[in-house]
Amino acid sequence: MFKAVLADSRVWKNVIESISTLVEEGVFLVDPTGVRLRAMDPSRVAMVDMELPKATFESFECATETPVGVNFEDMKNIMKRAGSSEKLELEKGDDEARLKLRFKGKSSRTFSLPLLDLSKDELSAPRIPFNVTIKTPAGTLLEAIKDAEVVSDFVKVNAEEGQLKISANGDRGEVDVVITKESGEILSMEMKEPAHALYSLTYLSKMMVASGLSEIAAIMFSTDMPMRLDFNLASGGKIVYYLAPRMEAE
Amino acid sequence: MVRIPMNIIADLHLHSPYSMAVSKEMSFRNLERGGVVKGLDVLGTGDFTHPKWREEIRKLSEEEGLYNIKDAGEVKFVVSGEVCTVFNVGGRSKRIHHLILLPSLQLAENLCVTLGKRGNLESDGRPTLSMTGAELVDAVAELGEECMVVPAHIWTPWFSLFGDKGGVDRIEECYEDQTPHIYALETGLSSDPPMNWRVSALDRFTLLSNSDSHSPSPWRIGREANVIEVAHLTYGEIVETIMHRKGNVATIEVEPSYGKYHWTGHRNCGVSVPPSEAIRLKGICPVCGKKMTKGVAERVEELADRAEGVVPEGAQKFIEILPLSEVLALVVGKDIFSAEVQRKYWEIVKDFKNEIEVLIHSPYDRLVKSCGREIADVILMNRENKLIIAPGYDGVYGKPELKVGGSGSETGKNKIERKERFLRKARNLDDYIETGG
Repeated sequence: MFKAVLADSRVWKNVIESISTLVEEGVFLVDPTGVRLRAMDPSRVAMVDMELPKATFESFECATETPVGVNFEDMKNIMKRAGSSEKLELEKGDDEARLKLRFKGKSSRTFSLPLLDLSKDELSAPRIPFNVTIKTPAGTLLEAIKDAEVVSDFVKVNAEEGQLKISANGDRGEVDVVITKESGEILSMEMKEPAHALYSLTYLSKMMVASGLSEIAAIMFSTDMPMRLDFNLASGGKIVYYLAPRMEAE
Repeated sequence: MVRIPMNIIADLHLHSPYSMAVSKEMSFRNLERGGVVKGLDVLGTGDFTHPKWREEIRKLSEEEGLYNIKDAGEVKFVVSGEVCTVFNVGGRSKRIHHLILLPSLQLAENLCVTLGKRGNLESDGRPTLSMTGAELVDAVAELGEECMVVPAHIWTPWFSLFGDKGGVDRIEECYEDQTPHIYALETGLSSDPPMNWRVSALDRFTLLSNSDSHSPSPWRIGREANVIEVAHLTYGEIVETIMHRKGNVATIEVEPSYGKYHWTGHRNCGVSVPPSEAIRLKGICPVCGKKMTKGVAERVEELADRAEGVVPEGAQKFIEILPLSEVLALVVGKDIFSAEVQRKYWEIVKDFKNEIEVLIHSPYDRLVKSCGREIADVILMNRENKLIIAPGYDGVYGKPELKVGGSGSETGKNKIERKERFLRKARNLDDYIETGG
């Protein structure tokens, strides 16, 4: 069994939104160290890797590893009912096929979510040598992605000395967004060599849902290789996304 | 090369201008012209369920169940039509198209009284009816033994007997106790007889191929057709042969990869994949993550109980050949509707009896004399199935390509293989994840 309490139910709400944007179903692995989930979207183009350590929770009880398979859409709908100043208690008994989600505020409201018997085969994360690691305010990155979406479905990400260029072009026009160290919008930059790659905006914009959880986004990529996008949660824990590149032309 | 018994060539499934997306040029006069140029003896009237098109059929002369234009008459017409039945099987909605063949306009009128109670026959030349497949067959069979229902383009993803979207897995699920009244199946452009032979449950049926054309032009009608050996050219003889002498029915096919739904794919993203790759991708488009349209090749693979290459007893003969307009488009490097392709087409066919003669029968020397060596060579490659076709998918026609000889040249097949490698390599995370420790 496990029982965990989050002081702010909105943290879980945001985490679930960040996951459900890519995957419909998945298995949380709950063990004495915390809660984690790694899942790929059905097309296997994107992966989400979420970790909420025990310290994130106000209280946390779990003796043995417990898989918790859920439908994220259903869980998201429950979490929409979270009040702004409510605590969230998650509870699953040993032999129960349901997860209890209890909102504790002015009143105590308990939802019971049927659990899914899903395979808990753990995925490995992609092992990629990243040539570029850039930290930028999550809001700045979000705006750049939104700009690109105006004109295209794909975005070219290009890192050169001191700058990150996000550009897109399509039938609807072209856009270039340049984020520089000088402007202060690049908080840190590690670059072994310049890199450029093309990524799907459909996925990137879904991933940016997590920008609400973190002030800072860390982008890691190499030329024509997958991107890793990290969001460290202010409340502890992190959400990491991986996104396969889109090749420019055959 | 398969020798086709040249008796009558029949394309029994096409549509009138009262069906959606059909050329306004569709008229019996233009069908007669197109049929003569193509080399067809018999055409379906199409759309007998539509009252205005029946008015046109009524203007034709009738003899032994076949109709023809009064002052022309080289091409005979069989009263035919297609309907879409909508019904539930196991709580799931099924939308299935059926071709109907009838021996007379009078019986068509009678049937329309029954069908008109199940849907609006005036709304479209191919009306949608609220009735089961079995109810339709019952209504048709009641009119007489020579009245036929043929499941239409049975593998097409949408609106077909075995289609992935709205079809069934077993013919009995559609036609129930009326299944014994089904004698033939229309295989559609995206499948050919060998693909159908892989499902042993289909062995008893006569396989038919028709164009389902929406235009009377010879580059559309007869692109698939049936060669039917008959003693006399009557409706009864045609139907009797289809029902009971499948060995006397051969088919003219396009190569199935030319069809619009041969491979699984996603048109918006330009993605097409063979069955094995589609299964690996779990049917999800590797570009956008949406569900791809399952192609006929994958659907056949799902229902197949035989390995590829098995020829069942009594298998019909067939020939695979692309329309002349496609051959010319390939040589000229332009669209089949381009002025240059059209001009060359008419220049060539005027020297021959018809297009079928050019495509199948004319000796090479004669072709060279009329068309020039370059075109003659490609016509021969077409006969010998040497043209390579990038498979059609999700509503996109397959694209014929010339096989280019010589070192360093890339063949169409190589291009497809390269595309497959490209899809596998570049677009999902599996390639970057180490497995097996």
